[in-house]
Amino acid sequence: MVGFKNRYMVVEVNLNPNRDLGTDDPIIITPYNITKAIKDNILVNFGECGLASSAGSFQVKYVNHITKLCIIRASREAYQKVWSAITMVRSIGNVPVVINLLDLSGSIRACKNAALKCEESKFEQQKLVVGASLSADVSKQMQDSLEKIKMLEH
Amino acid sequence: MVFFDLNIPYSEASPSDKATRIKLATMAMELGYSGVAYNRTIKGIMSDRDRCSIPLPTLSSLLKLSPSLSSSVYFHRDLLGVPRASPFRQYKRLTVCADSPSHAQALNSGNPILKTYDLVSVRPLSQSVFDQACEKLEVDIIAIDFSEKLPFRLKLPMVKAAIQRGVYFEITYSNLIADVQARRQMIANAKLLVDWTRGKNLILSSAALTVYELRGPYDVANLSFLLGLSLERAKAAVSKNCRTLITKALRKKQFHKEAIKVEMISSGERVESDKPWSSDLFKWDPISSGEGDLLLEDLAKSFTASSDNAKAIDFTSIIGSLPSHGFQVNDLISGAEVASKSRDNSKTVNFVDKATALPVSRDGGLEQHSRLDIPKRVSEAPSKQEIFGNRNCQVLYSSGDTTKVLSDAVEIRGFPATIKAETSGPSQSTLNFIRTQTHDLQAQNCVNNSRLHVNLPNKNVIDNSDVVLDSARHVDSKEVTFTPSEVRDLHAVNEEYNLSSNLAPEAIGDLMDEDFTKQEATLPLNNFVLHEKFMEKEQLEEPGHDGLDPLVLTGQASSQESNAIRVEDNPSVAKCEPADGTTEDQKHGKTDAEYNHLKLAQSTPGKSKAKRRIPHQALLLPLKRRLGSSPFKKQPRKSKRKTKLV
Repeated sequence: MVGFKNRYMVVEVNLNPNRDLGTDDPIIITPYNITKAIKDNILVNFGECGLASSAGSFQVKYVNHITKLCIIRASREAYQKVWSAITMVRSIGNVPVVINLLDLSGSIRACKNAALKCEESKFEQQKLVVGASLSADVSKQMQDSLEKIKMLEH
Repeated sequence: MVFFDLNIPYSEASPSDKATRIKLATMAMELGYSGVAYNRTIKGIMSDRDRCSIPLPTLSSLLKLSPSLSSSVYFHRDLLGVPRASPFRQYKRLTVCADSPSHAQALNSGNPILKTYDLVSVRPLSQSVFDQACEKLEVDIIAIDFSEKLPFRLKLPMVKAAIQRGVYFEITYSNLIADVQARRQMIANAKLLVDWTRGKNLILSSAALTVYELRGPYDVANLSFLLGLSLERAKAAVSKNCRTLITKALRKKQFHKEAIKVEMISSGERVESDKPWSSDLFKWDPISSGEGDLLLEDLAKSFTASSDNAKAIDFTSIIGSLPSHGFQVNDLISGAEVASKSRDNSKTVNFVDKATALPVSRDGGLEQHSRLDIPKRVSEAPSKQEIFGNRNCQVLYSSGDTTKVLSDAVEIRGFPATIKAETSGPSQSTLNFIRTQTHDLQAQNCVNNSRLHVNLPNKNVIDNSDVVLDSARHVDSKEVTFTPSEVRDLHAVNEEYNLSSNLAPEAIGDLMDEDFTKQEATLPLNNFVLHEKFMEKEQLEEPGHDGLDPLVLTGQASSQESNAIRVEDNPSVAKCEPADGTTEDQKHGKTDAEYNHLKLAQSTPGKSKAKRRIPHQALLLPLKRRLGSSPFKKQPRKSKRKTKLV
């Protein structure tokens, strides 16, 4: 008997793939609007049944609006559907985005490790782009979100 | 693992195309792809205007768009497991839309226009063209637009014929993402093809018109889950199949009869003007390997070459560094101990078609540790405690049959194994082994050989002296017969023989590792760890590779004797660097090509026990992987690491 298992996906949301925008983000991503975008997509592509079968476990666990990193949980049975739906997301709100999977793991612990690593390097990149003018506020938020990752359970 | 997106649309007409294309290339690079192909689509009759005029974006233009490109690229490459240093490649591709056989006629091997592109594909728009494309057109890819209703029917025999010829089918995914209607059509159509090809000869590419339709390699692979492709095959469709395709296409283009490379004489100048991107790209940056425009075959070559180099370096450097490396003696026995290191000899034998019989008698190599003050040995092993006498001696005594000496490249690596041997027990082992040899020796091997030969005489002298000094110890002769059915068959025979006095048991471990590879000499490193525990055993390590049963050991028990074999396990030994004497015998005897006979004759007075076991599989495992691998894969790299570790 195999128990119920989850899959955890670390994804990055690319808000500006076209590089025609400045450094300001057109939208602030939240768990809510990401969930909505993905669920809409599941509904379009897999219908009510697909949505329902994935809905049990599907959850956006964590979103960092600075580095645009998210952790999404899905059941092992439905994760491919959810992943495909994530891949096919074209916009959040009215903003065109590209969502790209960075890591896929089977336990929250592995996921946390991967996410922390990704956060770190993404933040480095962020600093590179923004330059030295990174406000203390942002750093503080960043620290908070790292803490939040560490606190994640299930 | 390298990932490719072989369809970035290019159109001359639109002025905004260039900017889009650069964006797409940048994005693809960021997502971790190792290469893209710019695709030009033409319809109707091909004319001279259709010569390749695709300007490849330079790196500077990419950088202008995205100043922090490199960090992002590294980030994604690390996640995907793509080597950071691998260059980003750009190819030129032509797609011919053909709706009648007459259009398709242009796609023949003699067409010079096609030769200006790296990849050629056809988009069949009618049944007859599709059939033709599968069966005889000179194309690399059959690109079918699945987002519309197919103007022809896919037929299984045709698809099979195409696969037979090595033509690839392309499925583009951008429509899957962009358009809901097209998605429906596409999944329905493409599923059939996927079923029939079962992922073989299938590539997935984007054909993305905007950056919003480009996705990362794994996302693409997962997307094809919708088409019924398993994740593994889908990954292959993004990476491996593409690489094979490119390799093949480029070989066709640049090689005469796919075997002889044709190059301009003034290659440096010429290549740069041909491929303007490469120069900039490679001058720039950390991403590139700095070796210029590496074509894939070259890449493969350089991989193997580099791995060879690594080995060569190991040989020489390790020899030098041998003494300093962990020679650790266990203090278990307080009496006169000689810690002798026996080298594990790994031989890479290049096979000749003919078999040669080579009897080699080896002194099992005893290195004596002077620490324990053994007069005889001390004299041999000069001042240092840590100097081990050289053990690789090859006394070649020709058994009756051996006659000729031919070029045989045998590389013997000695592994440091710590063995305690009593002084009183002299050990001499005679090894007869017969091996097959190959004619083609590679240059490096030759170099090694020469060095080894220089070294050898001294060693032999020493060893001989040992031998003389030592009372004949006798012989536990074993024949190891193995048939390497595969070319790369690694055979490690570990023999430990032991001196017999029960009172002071001595263990001499001799690990022989013979590696037979036909092609390039890949030398396996043998990890050899001796157990500290007192064992009365002979260990034979026989890693059979690839599930072959290489060794048939027939222990010919000669006078069997009490072998008190003590093998001592130094954990540190594992860390020791493999010492290697590379020695080469050039002898050509007669033998069977396939059989190697390894005879070890030992004389030990005392009790005899022979046991086999396969210890330390884990350590040997890397060898196996290395040997079994094709040079193309990551293996060389891995093995490099391994050598360092060892």
